[in-house]
Amino acid sequence: MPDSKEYLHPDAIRRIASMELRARNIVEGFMAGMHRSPYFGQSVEFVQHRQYTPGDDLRHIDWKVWSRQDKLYIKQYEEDTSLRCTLLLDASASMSYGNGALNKFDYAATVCACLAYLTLRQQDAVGLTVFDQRIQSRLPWRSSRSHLQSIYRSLQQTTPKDKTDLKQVFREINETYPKRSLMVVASDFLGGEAQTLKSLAALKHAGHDILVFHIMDDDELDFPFNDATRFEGMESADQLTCNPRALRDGYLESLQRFLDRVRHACASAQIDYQLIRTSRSLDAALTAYLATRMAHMRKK
Amino acid sequence: MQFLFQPLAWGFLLVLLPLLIHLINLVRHRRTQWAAMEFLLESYRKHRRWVWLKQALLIASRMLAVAIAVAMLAQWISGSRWLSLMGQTTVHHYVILDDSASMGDMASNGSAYQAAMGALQSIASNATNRDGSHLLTVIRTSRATLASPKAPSTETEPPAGTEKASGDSSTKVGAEEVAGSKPTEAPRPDMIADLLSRSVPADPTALLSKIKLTVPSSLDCDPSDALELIAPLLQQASNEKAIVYLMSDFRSKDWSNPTVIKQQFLSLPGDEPDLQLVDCAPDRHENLTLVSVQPQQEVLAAGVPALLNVSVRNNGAAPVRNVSVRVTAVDYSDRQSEPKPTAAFSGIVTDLPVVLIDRIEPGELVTRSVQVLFPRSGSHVIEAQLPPDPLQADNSARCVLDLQEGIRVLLVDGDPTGKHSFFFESALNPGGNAKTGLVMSREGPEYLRDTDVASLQNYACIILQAIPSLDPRALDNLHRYVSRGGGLAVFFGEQMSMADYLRYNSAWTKSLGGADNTTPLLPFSIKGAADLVTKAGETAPDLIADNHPIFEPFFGLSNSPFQFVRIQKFLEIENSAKGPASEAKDISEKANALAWKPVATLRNKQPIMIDHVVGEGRVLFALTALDRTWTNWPQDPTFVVASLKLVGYLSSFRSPETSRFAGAPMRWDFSSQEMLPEIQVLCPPTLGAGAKPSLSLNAIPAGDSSLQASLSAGLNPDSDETLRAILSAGNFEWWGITTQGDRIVKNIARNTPPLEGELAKIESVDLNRNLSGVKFAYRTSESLSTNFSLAGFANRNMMLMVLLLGLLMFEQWLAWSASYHVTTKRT
Repeated sequence: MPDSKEYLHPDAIRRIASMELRARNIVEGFMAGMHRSPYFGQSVEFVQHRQYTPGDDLRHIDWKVWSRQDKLYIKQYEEDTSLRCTLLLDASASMSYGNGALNKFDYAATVCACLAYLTLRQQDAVGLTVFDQRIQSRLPWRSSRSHLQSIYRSLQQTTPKDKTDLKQVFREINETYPKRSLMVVASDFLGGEAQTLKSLAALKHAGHDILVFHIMDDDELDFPFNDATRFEGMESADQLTCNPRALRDGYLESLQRFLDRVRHACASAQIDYQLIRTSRSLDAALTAYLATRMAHMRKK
Repeated sequence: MQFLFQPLAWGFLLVLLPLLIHLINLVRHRRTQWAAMEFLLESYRKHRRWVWLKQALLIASRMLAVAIAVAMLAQWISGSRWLSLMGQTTVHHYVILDDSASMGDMASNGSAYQAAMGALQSIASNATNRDGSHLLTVIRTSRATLASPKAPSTETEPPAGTEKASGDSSTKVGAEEVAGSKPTEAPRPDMIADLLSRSVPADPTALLSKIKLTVPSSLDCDPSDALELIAPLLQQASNEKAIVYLMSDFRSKDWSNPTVIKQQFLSLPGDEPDLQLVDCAPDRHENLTLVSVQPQQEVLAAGVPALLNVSVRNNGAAPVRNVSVRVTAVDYSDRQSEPKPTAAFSGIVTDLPVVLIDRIEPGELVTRSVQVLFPRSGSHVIEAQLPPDPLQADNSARCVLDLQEGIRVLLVDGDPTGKHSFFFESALNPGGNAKTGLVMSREGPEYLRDTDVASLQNYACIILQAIPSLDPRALDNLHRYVSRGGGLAVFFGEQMSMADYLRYNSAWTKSLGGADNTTPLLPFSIKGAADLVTKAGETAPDLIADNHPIFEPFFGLSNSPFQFVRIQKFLEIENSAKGPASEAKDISEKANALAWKPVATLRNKQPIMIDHVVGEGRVLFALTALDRTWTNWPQDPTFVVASLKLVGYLSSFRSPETSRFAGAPMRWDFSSQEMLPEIQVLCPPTLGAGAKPSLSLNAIPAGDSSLQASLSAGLNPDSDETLRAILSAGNFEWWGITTQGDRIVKNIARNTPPLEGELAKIESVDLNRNLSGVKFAYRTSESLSTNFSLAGFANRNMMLMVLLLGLLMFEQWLAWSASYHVTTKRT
């Protein structure tokens, strides 16, 4: 039996053109590889008892236990309301970079498709917002299976272009989604990173749980160029003809500082952060999502 | 900037190659869309200057490395003042160029002289690369030797006949002729030097063009005369840095007695001049030398077969077999002959049978005889040639036979009937087919009184027989004749009385005031006639010959050839038994006494024949009478042989030279009544020239009705052709025109000194020992040339090499520093 993780590798994913099949393959493969289901049952299910403490809602006291043991215990149940997950996908021009099996946008779109599939499979509601310097498309929360097709279609029809302006986009999202939800952001965060991080923090303050997938290509992280190269900005008119090896160290230093800043800002705002290479399999992203969802559900 | 290999200088265009590659790389860059431009631009802004600087330095270092490599390949020879090793402002290069005959040795690639030229070129080229100004002085040793006061000149050359007719007897130029030479003007360097204190230009080719046209001379000359010439120059230029180069072949023969040259080196003025001994010749190799070609007999005349000795020496280290010597006889007797500048000889050339020598041991001198017959008078030439070998100069030798129809001999007989001359006439001119080449003339004693010295000089020798007394004028004529190289034989008569002997003692022993030489004709006193007593049982011959040329044919015989010669009477002389030197009282008398010696004695030890030197001539006294009552020698066969040798011996002191060594002055004396003063001299052909060089001379008056045409190097030779002719060996044809309009030729032969064929070289150990105390550097011309020359080039190339290596290391470090060779690390 082949290793289920093989289905999660970008090289394997790339061969599946349909976003739907791609998401199902990934999620089912991912789920099949898990020893224990990480998520709780559907509807209202008992979870555990805990001792009563003053202030607890009396409606949750398990009187049957009180009658047998003469002690007050509170019954705890699973959330019976659906999780609202908002997928925020960066479709700016910089996301189209990639020399591997998948470019950054493809990788991020695949992650979003997988998360949408996974979410709807758990009867949660999921929405999708694709943006660059503004919101390009938006799908509201739905928990029906048919909504999945809309998400797939939207992902497949999107082409990365234009610059990124996350500050403006997040402000709009904040205004658009007043209810608290789990927001999954898939972006490379290139361009106006300081304002972007502030906007993220604002989202967090608005009560959203935020999971950040920082998608970076191997070339961007390693800068493996050797020969003289003319670099042309994807979101700007900047051009630079140089010997890449001469600038490599400086570039890596600058990049590392950027990653540190993003990571630090997320940590400060209690935002889950995951740096993802486009060359790695998608299980890290899915695992991170599930962990975040569980945390989100507990808080509720 | 100048380069030894100028075409390679185009290689400097390669300097642009690194820049071109860089530009091409920039043009050929790949293009890529890049998202994270801000980080790249940030890195670029931060490292821009340093990256650019390193890139520029890298390209510059590569361009410089290419430039240095090209400079090394093209051999950069200028613009290196910073490399100069000379600390002085002016450097004067004194080059003493040995152009003796042995420098023509072609054993290596080119001659030793050409190697010296290469070294000279290197010195001049190298001088241009060094700091400061450079002066060049070049002196050839042959020129210095010929200009030396010791060298012979036409004025100091003794009259013909003073030298024995033997090519071997003449020594190196300027040695034998010292005696009797007059003080001459001291040579000045400006007259001698080929280049004198000439500034070395950037391109020394033109400067050296003239000296490069010179060829090795045929002289044997050492550098001492040249060193004497440059000594004053060194003295005057004390503020210059002097470098003295001696370019020679360093043969052992030249350094066997180095005392003089060592002293000259030690006494060179100036602030310790740098002395460079440059060896230009290859090591010793096999070499045959034709030592001489010379006639055996003294009496040479037209129609008389002449025997010539051809001597060959093996100067190699191994025996040589089957040596063939080509001998050529050139007959100049044809009065219709004309000068032929394009032919080797203007006369009729006849090849004689080849002389074959089957084996010559190393160092051995082998002599073979060749017979040649010239039927008519003339100035004929015999030339011998060895097969070609690396040293051509010593492969040929020649001699000139100035033959007349006969050698005139004057017989002066005291008897009017001439009865005393019978024996000589019979011996010297036997008649029939036996030709001796001698022409007898018999005169009475009064002829000597009535004639003059010039007339007497037409005779090769004079034989007096039974002359009781002579008139003082006759005696004076005889004295002058002998003093000027004439030969006189005196035989006494059987009828002479004691009074006659006393007249001899009084008149002949006086020093004649008007004569050229004060030595008396008779160096002893005659006591009178005496009988040779024969003791019983005595077996010794009456006549015992000494080691003298007139008895040369009898040398080495086991038995005395005079066994049957009887001498009954002889003339006793004063104190004869004690010998001439022992009875001398003072120095002058002793000098006179040493001038005579007995050449034959009786068995009672009394001299019977005495050889006496008077001036440049000889007087031979026979202390007996050619009469049967005195001796039976005239009837003995040995008398004929001795008579012929006696005439040859006495005439040899005035016979014309047959050959001399190259460099010796040449002169032709003739009567202004017989010949016109214009003389054309055809010199030996030069190598590669189509026609023989021709010189025109004008004879100058030399006494009453006589003219003298001369050719010598002197201080200022008329032209380069004259100089080249003087320095050459070969046959010189002197063509004149008689007053009757006929052409007449006189040949003068000049040969290469055979010592030049000795090619053994002095070992460096011996050289160091011989020149102990002298600071010098010994090196070969090859090392001088390939070092480019000289140390300057080596240093420059070495420095360029070090610079190049340092630059390449710097480039590598720079390239590494610019991350050109860093392996990719993944974060």
